[in-house]
Amino acid sequence: MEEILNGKHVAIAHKERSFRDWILHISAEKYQKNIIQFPFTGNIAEKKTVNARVDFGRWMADCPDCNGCEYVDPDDPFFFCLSCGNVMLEGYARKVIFPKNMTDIEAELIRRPVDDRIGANAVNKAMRSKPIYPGLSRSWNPGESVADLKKQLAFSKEKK
Amino acid sequence: MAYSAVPSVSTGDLWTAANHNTYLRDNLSDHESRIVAAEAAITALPDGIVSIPRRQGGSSDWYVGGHTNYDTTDILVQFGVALVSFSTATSSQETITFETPYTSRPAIFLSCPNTGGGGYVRQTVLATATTSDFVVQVDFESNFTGAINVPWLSFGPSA
Repeated sequence: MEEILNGKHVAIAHKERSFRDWILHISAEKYQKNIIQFPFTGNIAEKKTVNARVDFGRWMADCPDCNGCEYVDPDDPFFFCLSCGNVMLEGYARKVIFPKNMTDIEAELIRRPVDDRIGANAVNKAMRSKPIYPGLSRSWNPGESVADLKKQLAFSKEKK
Repeated sequence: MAYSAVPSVSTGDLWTAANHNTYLRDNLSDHESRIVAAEAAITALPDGIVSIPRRQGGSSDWYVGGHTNYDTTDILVQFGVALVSFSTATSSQETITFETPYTSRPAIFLSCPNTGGGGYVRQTVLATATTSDFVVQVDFESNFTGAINVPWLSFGPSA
């Protein structure tokens, strides 16, 4: 079944029990190697938020401090940047805002045909997917409506 | 090699040689070839030549009106300001010679002159036009003495 992937799928790909476990594991590893200043401890700064977006069929969010990018999970909506260790918040994670109509967005994005045969797992396949309509990847950014997505698909179909 | 849209990369993602070659090498190569082609196209145009794909008019003479659509190629644009002198007169003309002649009569646009408060202009007209020059005429409501500026702009086929 085709779907838009999120942090849960990343956890499965890396054989972790949950997305949170995966972030705990990787952040601890990076902290021990002195790659990041703070590991994820489970603390979340509820008032510090980032918006989720869809990039090549994957729910992600961007770090506002270092331009890092991480997978996010709508059922456990926190963002911890594994590039900088959320250093500006001293290791506290940010809360992730998902769109209220995310199911509609996902349904519309799945209508966009892609060639995703290449990749070691589902997440890797999504990242490496090639849009069948040039430039029309399964991507969505905050501010775009489902109607916008429909127009983009119609335009690309017509152009092709 | 066509451009490939670039995905975001996150911690844990696998970045392979194929990814590097697709999203960096080939995309940069695609951009480079487009930049070189665009630069060559720009460089190939002589000074003052612009590309306007369609024109509407009555014949190959750009000064003749009509509803026929034409494909056009290189278009020469020239611009200037005519200095029209008056000596206690209500009307005066000035001949402008194009620095570069057109291959057929161009379309010419005249701006309303600035009188500097010295009188009221009744009309500014294009009295005559050829491929190499045109005559601008300015009419005042009453006698005027002095010189006024009339900006003009011409579009037409280049040789």
